[in-house]
Amino acid sequence: MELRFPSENRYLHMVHQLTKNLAEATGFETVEAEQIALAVDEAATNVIEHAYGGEPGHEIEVHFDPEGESLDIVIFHEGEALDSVPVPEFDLDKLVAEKRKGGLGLTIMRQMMDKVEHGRAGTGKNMCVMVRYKQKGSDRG
Amino acid sequence: MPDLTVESRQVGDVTVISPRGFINAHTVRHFEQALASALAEGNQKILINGAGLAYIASAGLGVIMGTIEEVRSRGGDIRLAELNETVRNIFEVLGFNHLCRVLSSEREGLESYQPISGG
Repeated sequence: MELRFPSENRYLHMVHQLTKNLAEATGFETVEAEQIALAVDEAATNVIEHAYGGEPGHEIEVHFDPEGESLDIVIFHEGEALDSVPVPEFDLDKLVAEKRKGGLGLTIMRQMMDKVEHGRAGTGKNMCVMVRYKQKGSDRG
Repeated sequence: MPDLTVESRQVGDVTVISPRGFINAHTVRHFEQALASALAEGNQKILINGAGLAYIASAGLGVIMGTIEEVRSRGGDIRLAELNETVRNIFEVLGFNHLCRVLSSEREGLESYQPISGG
C-alpha cells in the first residue's frame, strides 16, 4: 500500500489516522496501532520540517507492507538526508533543564518501533525504514 | 470540525486548559498560544484537561517540556488530568509521567493545587 502527499503539516493527521487504521486491520491492538501511527507522524514531520526545511510543494511517499511477521513502513523523500545528524541519547531531564522544545521526534520513533533506519534507496531517494513486529507482550505499556 | 480547539477557563487560581482534537506540528500553535496567554496573565497553576485530546505528538510535548521549568521556578506547575489511554501511554513510554503529575480527574487535578491544611 502506498501513500503520496505534499510536504505540508496539514496532511499529518491524515497520515496518522491511515497508519492507525492499517495497523489495527493488520492485527495490532489499539494502543499499539496508536504508537505506530505516532511514529509515522513523527517521521513525516521530520521529513517536512528538516528534510524539506518546511518548504511545501515537495512529495513524500509512504509505503506500508503489513504482510509477514511485521508491519514495515518506509518513508521516501528527496529532501536532505536525515541520517547524518547525530542524535544524542534521550535525556528528558536534560531537555527540560535546557528548555528545549525539540529533540523528541526521533526518540518517539525509536521507542514506538522495533527498528528505525535511515538510508538511501536504489532510486536515489532518501528513506526512513520503520518496523514493528507483530508479537504479543509488548513492553511498551 | 477544526483539528484542535483549546478552551481556557479559570477555576480559582488554577487555569484549566482543555484541548479538543489532536496536538501535532500542524495544530500545536493553538495549544502553545493558550499556554502562553495563561502564563502571560500571571497564572502559574496550569491544569491541562485531556478528556478531549485524541493524541499528542512531540510538538505538543515540546511545548510542555520547554515551559515547565520556568513555571516551576515561579512556584507554579503544569499538571494533566483525564488523559486517554493513548496519551497516557505516550507519557509513560517517554517518561513524561515522571516529569509532570498526571491525575485521574479534573477534580483531583484542582485539589492537587490546594495547600495541605494542617491538623
